[in-house]
Order: sequence, then structure tokens, then C-alpha cells
Amino acid sequence: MTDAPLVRVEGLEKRYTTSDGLLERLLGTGQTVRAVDGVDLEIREGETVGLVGESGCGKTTLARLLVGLDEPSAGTVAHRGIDPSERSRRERRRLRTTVQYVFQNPSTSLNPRLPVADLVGEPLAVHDVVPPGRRDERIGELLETVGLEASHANRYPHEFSGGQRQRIAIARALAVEPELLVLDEPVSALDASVQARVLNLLADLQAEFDLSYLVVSHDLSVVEHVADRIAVMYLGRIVDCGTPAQLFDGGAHPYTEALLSAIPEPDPLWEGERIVLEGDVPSAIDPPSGCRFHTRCQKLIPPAGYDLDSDTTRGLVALRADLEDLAAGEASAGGPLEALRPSSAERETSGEPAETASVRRTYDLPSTLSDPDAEAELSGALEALAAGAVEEARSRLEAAFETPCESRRPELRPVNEAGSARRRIACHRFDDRFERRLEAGDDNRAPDSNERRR
Amino acid sequence: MTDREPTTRRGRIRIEGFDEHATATNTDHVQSNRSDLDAVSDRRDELDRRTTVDRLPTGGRSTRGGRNLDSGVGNKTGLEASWGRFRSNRTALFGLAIVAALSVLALFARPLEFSAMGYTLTVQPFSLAPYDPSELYVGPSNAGPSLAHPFGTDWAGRDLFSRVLVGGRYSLSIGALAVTLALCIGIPLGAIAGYFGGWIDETIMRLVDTLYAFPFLVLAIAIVAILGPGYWNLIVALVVTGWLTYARLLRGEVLSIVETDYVEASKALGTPHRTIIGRHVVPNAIGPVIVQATLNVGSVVLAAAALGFLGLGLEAGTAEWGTMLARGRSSLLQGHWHVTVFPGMAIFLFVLAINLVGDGVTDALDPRRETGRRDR
Repeated sequence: MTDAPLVRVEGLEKRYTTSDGLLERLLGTGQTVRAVDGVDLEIREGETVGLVGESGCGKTTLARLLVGLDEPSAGTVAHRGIDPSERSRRERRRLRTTVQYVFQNPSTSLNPRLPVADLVGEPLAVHDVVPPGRRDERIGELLETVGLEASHANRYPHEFSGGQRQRIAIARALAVEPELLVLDEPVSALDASVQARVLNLLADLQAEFDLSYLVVSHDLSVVEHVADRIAVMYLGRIVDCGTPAQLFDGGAHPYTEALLSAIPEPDPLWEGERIVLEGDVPSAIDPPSGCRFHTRCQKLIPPAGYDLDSDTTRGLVALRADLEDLAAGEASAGGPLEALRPSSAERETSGEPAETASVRRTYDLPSTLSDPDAEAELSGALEALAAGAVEEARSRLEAAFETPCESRRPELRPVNEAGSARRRIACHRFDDRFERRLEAGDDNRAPDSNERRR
Repeated sequence: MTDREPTTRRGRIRIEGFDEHATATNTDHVQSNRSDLDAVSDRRDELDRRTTVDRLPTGGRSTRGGRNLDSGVGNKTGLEASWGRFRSNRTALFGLAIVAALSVLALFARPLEFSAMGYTLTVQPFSLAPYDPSELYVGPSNAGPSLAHPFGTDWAGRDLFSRVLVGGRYSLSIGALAVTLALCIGIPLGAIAGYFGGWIDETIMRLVDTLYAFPFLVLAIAIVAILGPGYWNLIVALVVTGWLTYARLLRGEVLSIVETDYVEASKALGTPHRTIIGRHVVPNAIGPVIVQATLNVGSVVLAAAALGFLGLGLEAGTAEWGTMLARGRSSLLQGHWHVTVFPGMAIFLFVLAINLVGDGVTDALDPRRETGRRDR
């Protein structure tokens, strides 16, 4: 391993604009979708990096930017320190051969009208890797490398099974002798037994040709199996990065924890905690301020000056977000107002004003907050809300309870753990400045994950 | 498992030592495995059974195998499968036979000779037509059909049978040439417009729209009026009006093909645009254009005849079917029906045959028809 990474991505951004048509362009009314928003990533020689995240978080866009299928809006993708966008067209084409792309669905990524020999031969001819006389021989070699037979060369893609087609696609990518393969959901379209076989093939190829992989997937079990390092993406940013062992060890970004808890476990006696994230991924057109995950985060940092736990903070933030929508006049945001109309039974039982108690229940807030100062602020705001002053309630809450998760963007910073210089997390919880506010014992996951790694 | 207590530990149950070879033979014969000879032979059997039914000897199989042999549907290239489907379509074959017969008749109607520098090279010595089509008074004028003149004679005493035969040369070659040239313009422009998009697309498609705004025949008439009558001018007029359809049709298809993964995959490989267009985009998008072009041969021949009838086609007196119809108009008024009926019949027959072929091509290029035909 040399020190210069094979591929270094810096500040990579890709923006799509929703304005199409001359009029929208002239008026500038189009909205900008930030599919990838400032990503830094390094891939070293012979390394497998897994890229995971929910649908629509920008994984595929990032992969396409790496290969050069799309042009970045900002930032650079450098191959061994060379930025292709600064080079001539010819040089760019040559550089392109160092990174190759394997698509998710092999039945659509192979032209159905061409025999395998032409499909695998295309990159050989385009980049003139092998002189024309030796091409057939090389095609046969490549097919055998990926576990097919040289005699398959004159068959058509539809004569192969899904796994075999993916092998053809891999042979095609290997034809130009790349250094990095970007695998976009390489096995999602295949059934489980074939998945294992293709993954084994990829491992064999890596050992044989010293390849690097970027495996894009939403299947954490696949990524955990193959990756040396996993990068977790949320809304266009990498929020967590580390080895699978580090990620599974706990002490990860709250989003990573939620993702990991979603891996199905075949053990009938397993009673692990299942973290269910509420709501949808926010729109990339208008991403949340500060930490982009704060709207769904289970472990928000409590507002400065109060002694509150994460759940309460969560409830306060959710209440304020709904009030904000309400103040903006969005029809769907009826939550707080509906909560203000409690049933008659509740009226009789509760001691304090029924309206505010109902709101507290809706947002999982205790009837009295543990911190007296906070309680005073909250009850003041709730009374204002009960009186119909939505805007006042909102501003009171905003002034009193502002968590750093909302206001500050967390940087992807190295976390000092023993023996892991490359563990990086973008979360204020791992920032020394906010650390003291966290209660002890809040993030202790069972430290058994070491055994889980093979 | 001794530990029966509930636990939060993950990974207590897992599959160790996934045996690739064993599963390859047991679960998935098609999956290739070089090191396992049994698996390979199994897989070959499987593949052969699955995909090459139509190539088995007819004796051993049921009628289904035999029919598959006929239709040639199977694992061959798209082109061969299409030809198989086309062959199983009787009306299309009938149309093709008529087109072929008319072409042969036209070709062998008179000897083909090329003269250059005093030498005369006879390419084709046969002469099916009994008379020279332009020779005057080989019989009485406006005579009805007889043994000597099966289709009768026209006002100048020229033999109509010879004229109809030779006239096929004009009509058929105009149809073929005009459509081919229109394809040569329409396919590249349509492919470029659809593939690159943006202002290139806008420019080409607005040009198409502009030309489309004129009625087909009116535009052709205008062009002939500008260029003057003549064989090549007529073809130019038909090409200028004909390529629009192909360009627009192909652009639409290309727009959907460009989105496919295999085009993206080629881009990722660094394949130049022209290679992508030529190898991946156009071959997959060309189907509807081929169908349209086949059907258009008929309408081009009709248009040529219509222009001829209006006196804007070839020079008067040329043995072209449309022109002959135009000249026959006055004879028709005098009661000489045969002067217009036979050239008209020839046009009708050819256009009908081309349309039958076109329908056959439509069916043949549509792979969804495959199963329907096979099960018939």
C-alpha cells in the first residue's frame, strides 16, 4: 500500500435543478436538489469500501460521479492525485479505464442484441487494450476469469442466468484492467445463493488482480461481509465511516445504529433493540439545518443550560417543528392543534389544564420536566399555544430549547478510539465540546459485536 | 445450543463454509463451474434443452419441435428470430412473392445495356417485353387487349404490356431509392437528435416540425415545381418529404434507449459517442423505423404516381405507371378502359404487396408476438 490513495474525493457536490423549460430558467423559479453535498472519501489500493444508506441518500449519484458518468457541480475526484477534469479529453478517456462500473441489474446493463464476444470485446476495442488479432483469445480468458467458459462467447445475454449475466458484466469491466470497480448494488438483483457466489467471485478477483472496490448497497449484511471500511450516507453527506467492527461495536452515529438495528437476525432468542426511525427522509431540496439527521434522531443533544434526556429533547424538537409548519400555514401540520382537543374523559382525570397535558402526551413529554427551568419555559409555551398564539409558542420554544444538532453542521471528524485513526463520525455527540452534556450510559450497546465479525 | 436465555447478541446463528461446488450442482445447473465436470455437462444439457429445441432432429420430437423448426424461433439473433416469424406469416410471404415477381419482371423486361466510349456492355440480355415501350405504332392506336397486345395499345399505338413491364423499373426503383435515401438522412439525424438532446435536438426537431407543417404532396409538388420534372428531381422531392417520419420516429425510440443501463454501461467504459450510437442505440431503436420504411415504399410509389398523374413526375411519354395513367385520362373519356386499368392494376398490386410485407415486418420485429405464434 502506498500513501497516495487510489481515489480521493474532496468536497464533492452534485446539484440537480428541477427547473426545466425556458420560462422557469429565466425566472429562476427552479429548486435545487443537492443529491451529493460535500463528500470526502478516500479509497486505497486493494481496499473494499462499502457505501450504505437509505434510498435517495445519494449513494448512486456519488458512484456515478466517481466513474465520470456525471460531472460534479463542485469538488474533485482525483485518481492517484490526478484530477481528470484538468486533463485533455484523450487523457480523460485513458484515466477512465482505471475506474469501472458494474450495474445493479445485469439483464438491463447488457445490450440484448450483441453476443457476449462483442460485449466483452467492446472495451478491448475502444481502449485498444489488446491488438485485434489477440482479442478473441483475451475475451475467452476474461470469461474464464469470471467463471464462465470461452465457448460462451458467441451466445447472447438472454441465454444466461442472472448470476452469469452479472459475471459477464464483471468481465466487461475487467477488460480494461481497472484498479477500482464501482459496484452499484452488485447482487441486489440476484437470488441469495447466486449472491453468495458472485460475492465470492469478487473476493477472488480482488485477491488475484489487487482490485479496489466501492460497493454501493442498502444491504448491510452484504456490505459488512465484503467491506474493509463502511461509509454511511444520509441526505447527500457521509455521516459515519469506519471498519465494520468499529461500526458494530457501538458508539456509532445514531443513524448508523438505527440502520444496524434493522438487520434481520435469524436467532429466535435474539431480543436486540430495534430502533425505528420516524418519518421519511427529508427532502433534499430543503434539507434540515445543522445536522441533517436531527429531525429523526433518537439521541439529540439537550439544549444548553438544561438537564434533559434525549427523549424529551426529541419531543420538544418535534413539537417545535410541527408548530413551525403550522405557522407557515401548511395544511398537513394539524398535530398540535388536534392534540389541543382532548377527549372528555381526559378532561376529568387530569389535574392540570387538559389541553396542555394532551399535547405533552402526543409528544412523549413527561407531565413535569425534570429540570424546573425547562418546565417553566415549556408550560409557558404550551399555555400560549392553548390560548391560540401559535407564533408566540413557537418563538418561546425556539428561544429556550435550541439544540446544537439543529444549529450547527457537524463535521466528519476523526473519533479517537484506540487503534482506529480512520474512524470518522459526523455527529455532535462525538465532539468534545458537547460531550459533557450527554448523560452517562446513554449509548452503551452490548459490546459483543467483535465476535460477530467472521 | 446450551444458552436458552434471550440475548441481545447478534450472530449466534450463521452458515459456515458455504460450499459453492455443492450448491452449483444441486441448485443451479445453469450456473457454470469449471472445476466440476458433472456440473458442466449437466449445465450443457440444461442449456441445450432450454434454448435449442428448434435445432433438434425433427424425428425424435413431437410436432411442437417440428413447428419450432419451421418458425425458427429460439435463441438465435434477433434478426434470425424475426425472419423465422416473418416466414411463418403467409400473407407477408405472398406480398413478398408479388414484390419479387414484379421486380423480376421489371428487371428482365428489356435488356440492360451500358454504353461507354463506344463499347456496349450488356448486363442483362433477356427481353420479356415483346416491344420497345417507346416505339410508336407497333399496332393500331387505342386497340383493346388481343393476343398480339395482351394489354392493348395506347393512343400512339405503343404496346401497353411492354410499357407496364418496363414502367415497373421506374416505379420500383423510385420507391426503393427514395425510401433508402430518406432513411440515410432520417436515421442519422433522428439518432443524433435523440442521443445528444439539448439545442441539437431542438434544431433538428424544429426543422422537422417546420417541414411537417406542409402537406406531404403539396411540399413534393413545390419542390418538383422548383427543380423541374425528371427522375432524380422526383426522388429528391420524395426524399425531402420522406425523411421527416423516420427522424421523428427514431428520435422517440432513441430517447428511451438512451436511458437504458447498457448505454450507460458503454459510457462508463469510455466508448465514444459514435460507437455507442452505432452499436447500441440505433440497432435497438431501428425496429419501428424499418416497419415504417417498408410501409412507406408503397406510399412513395403512390406519391410518384400521383405526381406523374399531375404531370409533375417524369416527362410525358415516359413509361412510368403514374404518367401512363395521366396520359390515359383522355383515352378513358373516349371509352378505352384498358389504357388506364392495366397501369392502375400494377400500382394497386405493388402497393398492396408492399403493405402486406410491411405488416409482416411489423409482426416479425415485435418479439411479443413470438409466444403467440409458437403456441398456435
